[in-house]
Amino acid sequence: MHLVSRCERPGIAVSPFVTLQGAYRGSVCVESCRTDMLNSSGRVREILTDTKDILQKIRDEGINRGASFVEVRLNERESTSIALQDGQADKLFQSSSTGLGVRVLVEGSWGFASANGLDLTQGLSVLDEAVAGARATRAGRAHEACVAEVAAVQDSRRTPFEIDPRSVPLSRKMDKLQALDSAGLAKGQGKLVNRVVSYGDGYQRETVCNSFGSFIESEYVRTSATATLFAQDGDVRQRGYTRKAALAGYELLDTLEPADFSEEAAEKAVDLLSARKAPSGKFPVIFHPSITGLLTHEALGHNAEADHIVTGTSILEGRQGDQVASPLITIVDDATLPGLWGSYFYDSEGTQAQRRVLIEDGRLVGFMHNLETAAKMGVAPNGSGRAQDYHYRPLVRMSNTFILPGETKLADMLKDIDLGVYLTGGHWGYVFCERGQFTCHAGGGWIIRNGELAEPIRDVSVAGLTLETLANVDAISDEFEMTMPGMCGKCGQGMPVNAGGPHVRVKELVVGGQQSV
Amino acid sequence: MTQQELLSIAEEACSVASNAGADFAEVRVSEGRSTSVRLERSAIDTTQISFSSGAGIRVYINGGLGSVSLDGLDLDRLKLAAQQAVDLARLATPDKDFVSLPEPQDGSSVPGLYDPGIENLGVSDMARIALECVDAARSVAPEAICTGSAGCGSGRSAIANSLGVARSSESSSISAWIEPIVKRNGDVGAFYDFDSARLLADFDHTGIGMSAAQTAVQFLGARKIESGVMPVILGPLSSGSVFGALAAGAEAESHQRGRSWLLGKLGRKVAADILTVRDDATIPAGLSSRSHDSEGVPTRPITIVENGVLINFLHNSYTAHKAKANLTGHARGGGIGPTNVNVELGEASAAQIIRDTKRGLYINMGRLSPDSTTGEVSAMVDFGFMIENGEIAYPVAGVMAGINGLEMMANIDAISSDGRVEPGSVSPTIRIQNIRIAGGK
Repeated sequence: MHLVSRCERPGIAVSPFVTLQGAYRGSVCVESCRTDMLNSSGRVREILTDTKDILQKIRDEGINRGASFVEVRLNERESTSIALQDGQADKLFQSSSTGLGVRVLVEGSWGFASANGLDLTQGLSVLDEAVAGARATRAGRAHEACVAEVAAVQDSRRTPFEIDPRSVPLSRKMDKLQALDSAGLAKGQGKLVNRVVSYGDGYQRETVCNSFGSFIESEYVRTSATATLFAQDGDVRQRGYTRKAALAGYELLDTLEPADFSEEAAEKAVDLLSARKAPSGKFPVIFHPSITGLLTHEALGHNAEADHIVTGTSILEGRQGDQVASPLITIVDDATLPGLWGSYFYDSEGTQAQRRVLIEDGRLVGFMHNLETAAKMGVAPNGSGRAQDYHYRPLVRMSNTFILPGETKLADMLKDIDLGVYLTGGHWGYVFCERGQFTCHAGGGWIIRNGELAEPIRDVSVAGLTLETLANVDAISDEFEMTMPGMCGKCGQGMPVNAGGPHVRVKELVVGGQQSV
Repeated sequence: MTQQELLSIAEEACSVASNAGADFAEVRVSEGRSTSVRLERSAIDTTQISFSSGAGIRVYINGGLGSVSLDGLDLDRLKLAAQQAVDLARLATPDKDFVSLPEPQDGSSVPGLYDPGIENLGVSDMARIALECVDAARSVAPEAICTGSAGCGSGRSAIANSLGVARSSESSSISAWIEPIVKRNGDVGAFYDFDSARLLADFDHTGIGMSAAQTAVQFLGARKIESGVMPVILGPLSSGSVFGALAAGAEAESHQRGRSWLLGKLGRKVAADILTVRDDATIPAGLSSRSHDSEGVPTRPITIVENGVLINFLHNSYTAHKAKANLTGHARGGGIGPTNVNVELGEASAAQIIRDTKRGLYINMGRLSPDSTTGEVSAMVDFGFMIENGEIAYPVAGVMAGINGLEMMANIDAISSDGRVEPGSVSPTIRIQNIRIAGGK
């Protein structure tokens, strides 16, 4: 279940939320992903010269029509997915898409239009729509929109991988899933009632051609595997969930061991059957590294997206340079980390990916920017303008967001707590940036009693207020883990992100359990 | 393209799949256009116009599914994709539980799903609507910073399968939402409101700016509260999460696979006696109405919960055939989903239910949905107020709610006689006793 919907599309509910879903929620149906065996990569290569010509002609025509900034973006995708349920790989999906998104700035007014296909005539009519849209709404603007001026870049980048997933026969992928599933089943102690193990790979090429003179082509290969296993004991049903996903080729699957994947999911599901319901109230909370990323993403990350700052919808507006968090906290968003699910080479506006320090020793030192927010705030763009595909304009987005490790040992963090909650496994969360109110749902956890992990708990979420929570962090451990490759939803656009960090202790947080402690 | 042209393409691609060896084949094609404007700091930020078209092909061989989706409606590419789907289905593991795609069935068209007037609207119209929402919000709170959007869209689609299903439809919609943010003395109040419709005549955005701004102002001064067990009243923007969870929990596949929080409950009590929940995709002009589901099965009304008893599942053709049950017309995007979900209204007004509650929590917005497998609720109260002495007293912040889902459904003790009316649904106010509320005080 997505808490975010795209308001621009007909018949879909609207919502101002922004969320991160690291986990499976709701229906198990694997949606048709994106792939096309018809489009061999060879064919795509052959038309590249034509492609460049088409994009540049549309851009030049945009300038001729009076646009001060033109961005023509081509997104091409192919993907394959396999859903193996209860041992049967009986659903195979492939999908493909190609299309153009054209964005123009005309007399200080934005226009964006998109259509599928790659064709000059259609591309020019998309440009027409974008220009007409910008002109038609100019009167409704309060200020002239602008973009940061950047130097022209010509570049072409490709995801390094060992095994091209498109070269691997489906039968080999199905056999691998089967083996992973069997291992999970064996670990289930006869308590697994439903097993869904799925695989996905996707090839995406994003080509950005803009009026700065940039022409940038980025090719991405992403591979993922997800195990969602359901266990039952009497009336209690629980799920165990594990996901591995990276900017990588099929080697991700080749090196995937059941112990780190399906067996782990099986153990989680079975262990949760004997866990108690979560406690309700206000407690000291320790976040395991596997959920610290979710806290980082929701509590701070979205609020540090500069579009929220310039639109007045972030709790951090006007706080740059202030001490907004405990001095123990340094938070970074880094899109350059090799192979990580949230990494990329250039953003969808053609700005090179960067490492961005957001909070340093508790002080708010930076934001994530696109071309427009950088211009408005008088800084250099830092490569955070990402678009889901050609039907969407770039928004300021996170990549891989994390808290840097500290020096404390987990045992020392635990020992001061008489009664508290320890959370593991980030599942999903969302935030209202304008009020800085967020929630995180955990895969499980423990009650802490007298400095020790006492009883395991299940079905637990926590909620907090951003500034208060960040100020209340009073210990950071020396480990580090970034294991939450998920999809972040914002204004209806889904984007691959990762998040992580060390163990983090918050002095007090509201835990929404179903019983008293 | 016309509906007939879309249908011809779908039928032709379907024939290719059948001739290539599909046991069963289905082709869906669609095209559409959408237009929207987005607000930023109470002014127009950007306009967006999208043209999209695409196709989805499903082929079954020995029950194994090969599915291919692509954008564009080029017939040659579609035919190649049909062959590709056959190749995939041959590789898929056979599924003995698969029986058949649906046979053609008679069914009449649901009226009011398409308004040609919406096709004629452009970005200027959307900008006018969005800015009128801003003006309305600022008439209440002049300093309100408004974000929001207004958009409209229309499209046509067709579906054909190898058993002779051949149906097409056209649809339209228009919607707007606004979120005024009011900042006073370092405090922030915010709320949002929206309106959506399939027909221009049903769309009225005039009130949403004011109502959102009025509530946003009321959210200034939110307080933390003490934890406790108390009655919770869910307003019209929140109560749907409770009924919706029952409707979603009635989808058959999660039962057949043994992972539903309502497993084993068919024919048994799952909620208080006062709860009767119906799903009806045939309501004229309803937001979730449709003449047929995504497999081309005509829709029909169905009662999911009657007087607290779960009496029906929602099916697609796979689950209905597997269970030897009737098709219900709830196939959606390869799975199963509810449409317009409505609950039978009660006797007391929403105002009366609040007056009758000495102390409790009022939730304007927030989803109290049980987890689809575990059935437990652990949720943040996104926007809420304390109720004291039968009156809305003050806004709250950082509050969570927790309860077992079945307990929550059994604890529903009031459903209002009035509610928020949207095309296809009336959302009432409901009260649930004994929810465990966690506060930060």
